[in-house]
Amino acid sequence: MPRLRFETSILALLADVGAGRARPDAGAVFASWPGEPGELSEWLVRQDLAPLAHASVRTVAPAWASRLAPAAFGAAAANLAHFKALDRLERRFETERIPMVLLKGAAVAGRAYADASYRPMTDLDAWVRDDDMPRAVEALRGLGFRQDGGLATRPEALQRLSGGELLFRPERGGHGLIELHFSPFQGWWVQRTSAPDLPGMWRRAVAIAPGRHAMRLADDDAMLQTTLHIAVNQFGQAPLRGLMDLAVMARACAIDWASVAERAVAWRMAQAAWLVLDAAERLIGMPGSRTALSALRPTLPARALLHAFVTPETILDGRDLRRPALRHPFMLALADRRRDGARLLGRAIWPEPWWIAARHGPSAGRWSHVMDLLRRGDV
Amino acid sequence: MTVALTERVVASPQVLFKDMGGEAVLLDLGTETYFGLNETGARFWHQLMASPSVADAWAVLREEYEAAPERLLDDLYVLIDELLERDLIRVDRA
Repeated sequence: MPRLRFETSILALLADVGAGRARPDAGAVFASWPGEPGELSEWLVRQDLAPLAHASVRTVAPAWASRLAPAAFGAAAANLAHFKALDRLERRFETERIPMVLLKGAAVAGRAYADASYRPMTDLDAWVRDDDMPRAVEALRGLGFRQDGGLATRPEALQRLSGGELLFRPERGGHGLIELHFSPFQGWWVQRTSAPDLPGMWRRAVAIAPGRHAMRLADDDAMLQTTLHIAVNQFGQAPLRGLMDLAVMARACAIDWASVAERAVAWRMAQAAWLVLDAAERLIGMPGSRTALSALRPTLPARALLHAFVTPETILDGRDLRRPALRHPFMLALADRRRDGARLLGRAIWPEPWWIAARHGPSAGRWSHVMDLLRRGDV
Repeated sequence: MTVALTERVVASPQVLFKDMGGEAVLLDLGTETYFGLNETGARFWHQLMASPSVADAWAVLREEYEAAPERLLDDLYVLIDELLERDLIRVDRA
């Protein structure tokens, strides 16, 4: 990975391009890159930033453009397919009167990026209310999708309780993964340590465009949802793509940063939000966020602990926090309140009976859960 | 040549198009294969889709490109034949 100050100026440029704010010749800065073009190009491709970079250089640096074109064109083609699938899904859900809130890539690509093809997508994510989920599942089956069984460690009953998701793939094979989410926030970290206002988020959701059935989160909620997604996934899964989403949203949308900070605190996500937003500010720039960052900044000891795991440098270096030895302490360090972190740890080892039934089946006992933990070496 | 000058070509129904700042990408949803068009290919595609016949597309392109008209027509038919072979376009028999 390139180790120059150059990186932050490149990332800021890409965010300006993403938000449609860059000068047409701004991409000429790539010509100043002192290293091998291939090294930086490959890094941009790995971070899912190739489409943005290609858009930055296509008129001013043809040699760079040709290196980035395959990834850029591939992402554009994939996005065409995803948005076509969204059309079908949206029409069916509208017919069946199933409200849906788009999340993640499809939502931010359409809302914040000047061109949706700048934002690579791997699937479609839609939040559906609990009561509507059975009909949503049937609607997808009617469209020719089959439900993916998912991981044995994440059965459907557990997905429902953890705010997880149900996966669907086309019956005929090929690409086109659709995920129906029980919540905009997934996983046990949120369930055990935080208190997001999900009804409020749903109420504030707006149509993705006038007359459209599909909704998206309000901008401030989308900022928090994206932030938490990056944090609870331990900055894995192309973290710079997620941070770029935040930076583009900060440039393209009128974010009420005071609301973002207030909600993060009220929902007990302040430390996680600060860690991610601070990294985005330092790596890419987050216009208008300074006051919110000040409001969210943890104590010095808490900051030191969080930075033991994640810094802008470790993000650029691609440090993998998903190994159990790092992941669990990191998730504990993210909790706003110590007692919530203690509960997270305690329940991971000694969960409630209803959790065990959802995870292992109705006849399973606590000790079978403990043995399963020991066998897998993970929680 | 597989398409007469007087005939019109249209995109096959399973094909999606995306402009890429002058270049373009075509996605065949049926085969899940995509193709890139360079700036000239993208311009030819635009004109073929916008014109009532191949001849009309050629007439517009003759105004834009300095190449000899016959050479331009040859290049246009190279693209048409390749797009037909891959089922990305069809002759509009309506």
